[in-house]
Amino acid sequence: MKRSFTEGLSRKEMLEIKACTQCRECLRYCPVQEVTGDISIAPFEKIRQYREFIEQTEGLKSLLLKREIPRKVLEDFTKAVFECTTCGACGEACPVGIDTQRLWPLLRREMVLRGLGPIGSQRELPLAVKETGNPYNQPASKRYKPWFPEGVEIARSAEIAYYAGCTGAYQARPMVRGDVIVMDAVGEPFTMLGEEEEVCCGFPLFITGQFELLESLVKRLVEAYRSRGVKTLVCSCPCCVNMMVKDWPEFYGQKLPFKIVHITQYLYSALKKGMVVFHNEEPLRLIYHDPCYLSRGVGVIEEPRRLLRAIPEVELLEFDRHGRLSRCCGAGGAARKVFHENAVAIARLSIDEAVKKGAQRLVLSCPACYEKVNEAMRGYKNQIPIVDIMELISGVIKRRR
Amino acid sequence: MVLSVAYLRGIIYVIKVFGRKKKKELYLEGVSEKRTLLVSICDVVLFRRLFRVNKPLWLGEWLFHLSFTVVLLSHLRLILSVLPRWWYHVVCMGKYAGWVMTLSMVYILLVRASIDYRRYITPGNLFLILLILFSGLSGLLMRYIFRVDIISIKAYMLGLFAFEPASFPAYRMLLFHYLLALLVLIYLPSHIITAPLTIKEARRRQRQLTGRMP
Repeated sequence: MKRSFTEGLSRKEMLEIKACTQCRECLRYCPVQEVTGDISIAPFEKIRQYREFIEQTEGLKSLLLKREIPRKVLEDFTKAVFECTTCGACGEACPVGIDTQRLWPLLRREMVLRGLGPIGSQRELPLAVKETGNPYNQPASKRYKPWFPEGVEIARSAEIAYYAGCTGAYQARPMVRGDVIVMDAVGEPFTMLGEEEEVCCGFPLFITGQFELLESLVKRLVEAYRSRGVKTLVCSCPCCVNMMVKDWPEFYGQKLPFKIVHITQYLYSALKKGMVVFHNEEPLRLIYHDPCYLSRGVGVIEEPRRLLRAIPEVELLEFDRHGRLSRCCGAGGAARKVFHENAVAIARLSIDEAVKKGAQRLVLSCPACYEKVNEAMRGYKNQIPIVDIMELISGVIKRRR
Repeated sequence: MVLSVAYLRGIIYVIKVFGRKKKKELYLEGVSEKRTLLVSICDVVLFRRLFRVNKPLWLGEWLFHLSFTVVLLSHLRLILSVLPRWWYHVVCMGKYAGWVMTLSMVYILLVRASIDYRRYITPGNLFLILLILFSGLSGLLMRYIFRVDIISIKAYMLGLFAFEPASFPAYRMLLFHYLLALLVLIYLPSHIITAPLTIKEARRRQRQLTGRMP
């Protein structure tokens, strides 16, 4: 039986597809539009096209004008939906509140089920995750060893656990190293899964519409944390946090037996309780970049800023677009694996603005942003030192005695 | 006959698709539906989402939707035989709302054109804007220049609803206005029904996630 275009969508998504007013407000916020200007891949156009697919194949219009959708049209749509960084800025700016950060992965899923997606190297992700436990096809033995700080003790079981995440562990090591130093400075016992046990959270598979492995990955991770008596799971990667908060319960089949907390929330809470203090004498003018999946995804906007402002001698600048309307770094949605030039061009927009505003350091809090902005800086006319928020704080944090 | 069957099938299809069981989103559990509803009513009525991202356009859109509602309400006097006495005030407001509606359409066109005409106006949106603009203009012309007999129009409209149509009042401007109004009804965007629901969902998500993840 032929697959329906509405099969993978819930009532909410169906309403959203119908609710798009085609007002084009999203155009002004889409990072891919900023660097390509290609209207055919704009958010409103993807929704219009998908609505057209539904109307052409089912419902009233199909009865009157029955026709097949040409494969070329479907292929072009697939490219458009996979070229998106899934940053969700379009949805945040949408006057009718379409949750595009959730809608795009579902439309990608539909194209995957139709044999049209994913694109390029994204196809290799499931095999890499299955064989090595991470999407970078790196051995598990190198997950912690190259960056794990000396002298930090990991409890066998504890109420607090730290999840490093694959991108941090393999691609943005100063970031995860900073995380562990900060966790240690807070002084509460925390646990981590072993190198073989801590596998991909499932985000790269979810975002590319390849859901097949997700249930087993999620169950494996949740059960591992549960067996260690974990009540709070701390993580710094916004994509992982987003996946854990929104999708782990779906794939686990019930509410998670522990809370998910972003590391900035955890540290801010410790700072408020007076468990740690920050020492710094060097005047610093910083600019903070909100990761899409942290600000728009899970609404963590204030905590990173409060932490940065709590560092003595720090002046915090803001991008013109910040908070819920922040601009993507270009690395999102696994699009960087295929549409590399777009990703670099988008990252350079943030670099340019940070330099123009006179910041001394660009503070990031996402391993994918960290990797991509560093890459975009190579050979570029504008240069600014990049630092992860926990990497920065790990240099100024002291445990209160 | 064919059209009726197709139409009915379409209706059944819509009921089938939108009547699907609501997907339970576990991460959104625990958000007070009542409070969300109250806040999202404000979002819908005040177009708060648009206000946040585009204030000049918000002004035009909000004035248009408000005046369009008043214009529609004031037109009810033509299709309802009995109306409460206070409805007279709605009809009076309709007079001013007609001006606001027409001018807001011109304003919206100008705002969109000032951003980037080719990129920000779709042919469909432009068609609808022009349709409403000309129906507003023809309505104003009938009120101030080409006067029409309201009683004969009301008799015609009531006849339509009773399946006993009277002859159409012989006014060219009225015919033009009536045709445009029928086209507006045909092209009336479905977001009038769906957008309030998606706006409410957006508010619910925001309330659950902002600063307090599960």
